Amino acid sequence: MNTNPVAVTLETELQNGDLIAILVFQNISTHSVFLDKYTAYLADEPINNLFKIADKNGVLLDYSGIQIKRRFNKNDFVELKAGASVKASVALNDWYKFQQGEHTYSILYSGFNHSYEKQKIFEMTSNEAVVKYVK
Amino acid sequence: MDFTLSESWKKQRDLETRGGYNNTSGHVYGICHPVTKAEIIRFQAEYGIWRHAFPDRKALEDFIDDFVFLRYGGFGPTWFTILRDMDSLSQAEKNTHTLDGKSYTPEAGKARVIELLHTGKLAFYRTSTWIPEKDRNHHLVPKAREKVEYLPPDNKIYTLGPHEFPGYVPPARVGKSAAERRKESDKSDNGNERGFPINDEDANKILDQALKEQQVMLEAKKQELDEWDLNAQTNFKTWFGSTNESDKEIIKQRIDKILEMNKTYKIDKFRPASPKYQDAYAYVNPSDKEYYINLGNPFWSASMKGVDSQAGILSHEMSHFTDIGGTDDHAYGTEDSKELAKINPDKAIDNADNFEFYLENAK
Repeated sequence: MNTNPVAVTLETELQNGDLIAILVFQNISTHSVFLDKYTAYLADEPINNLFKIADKNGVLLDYSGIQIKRRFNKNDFVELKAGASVKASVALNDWYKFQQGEHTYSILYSGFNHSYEKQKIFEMTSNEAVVKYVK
Repeated sequence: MDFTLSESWKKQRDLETRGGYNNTSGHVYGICHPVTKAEIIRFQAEYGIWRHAFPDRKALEDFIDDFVFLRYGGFGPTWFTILRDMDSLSQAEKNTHTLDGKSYTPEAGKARVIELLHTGKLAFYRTSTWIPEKDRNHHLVPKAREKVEYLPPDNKIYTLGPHEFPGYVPPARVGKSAAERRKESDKSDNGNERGFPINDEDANKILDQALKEQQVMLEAKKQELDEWDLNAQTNFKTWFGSTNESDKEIIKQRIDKILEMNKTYKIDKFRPASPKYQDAYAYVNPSDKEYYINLGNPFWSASMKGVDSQAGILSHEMSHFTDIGGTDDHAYGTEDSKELAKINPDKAIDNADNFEFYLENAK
């Protein structure tokens, strides 16, 4: 049974040449959820490759950020009360190697929220967005 | 693109990693080459730094004694790395880690730096960063990039020397005095409070040993996969959620590639983590074709064997490289990783911690 307490919607926007992914994390459960800031892109910079960005041939773009083996502490989490939502945005072209010229890409966000006290790990996967982007 | 610090802060950090802070005043200093007046003006605009002069050699020596090196990573800076970074060593000295034909010692390194500073071949610069008392005697500067927090209390930058801020009362000394420290053998390169290696040489020994342990660990796992008895299958299923042939082949190939990398991996591919990620074990840029591994503080206090061991951390990081394993970080820690294997085996086999715990025989 899928008991993921957080629903994720993904929209994209072009801003001054940047391809911005806008993620909305909504707590669809009846209790508070503690979101890992790094998984939800609520921290300064991405430290995980959580977007799958594919060209029209299904080839995934390379991620150019870091992958980090981290240790967790309580400050890494933000509380999302029942029904509440939080919005995050990330300039994808800063972190993924887009191809030169205009191309169509399909974009999906998928991350696992780390366990927190009694809250177990759970998956958060967005809708797929399709976008034309010119580099 | 620099993913850790803005360009200007990267420059400042570069300066700071070749210097340290004054334990009494909290000012941060970098050691640089002397520059022309025009360059000083440019430096002031770009870095917000000011050259710091000393009335005489004794003042310089006292200042050096009262100077606590920032340690953005396990490697230093040490006197030797400052000399090396400032290109103040001969090629032979760089290659052999010696000074004046003798094995390098911190005392000799310090004396050489003092001499170069005294004769104007190197210079001290004060940066615009300032460390609050609570953060002193701590080798890191948390949030150093948040410039405003580390400026003096009135948020202005002064060209005055230490202790000269209007209305600024220098905090009481933290830690040992210069005189007390002088009594000891040169501990300026020490700073081993958080498990850091004492100097490059010690760091190299630790890394060399970690690579050896990694090789033993990988070869043992390779043998386990070849034997593929019930115990091997149970271990595999615990961390990857399946025992199918294709998954087994993925892991075998990944181990082979990492073994190859292990055999040729050079110590100079290890770098200290950036200040922001000091508290992480390690990180890499998976598309980095130079295969650099950045090590945070916890790496140095990690055990040689067992869960989250140095050998395991290296395997974790190497598995991230696109042409080695291309793994991601979906879940961390033994509990979440085991759970991931149950709920999503496809992600588990792609998860670096699952791979690491499998190698480490975690329970």
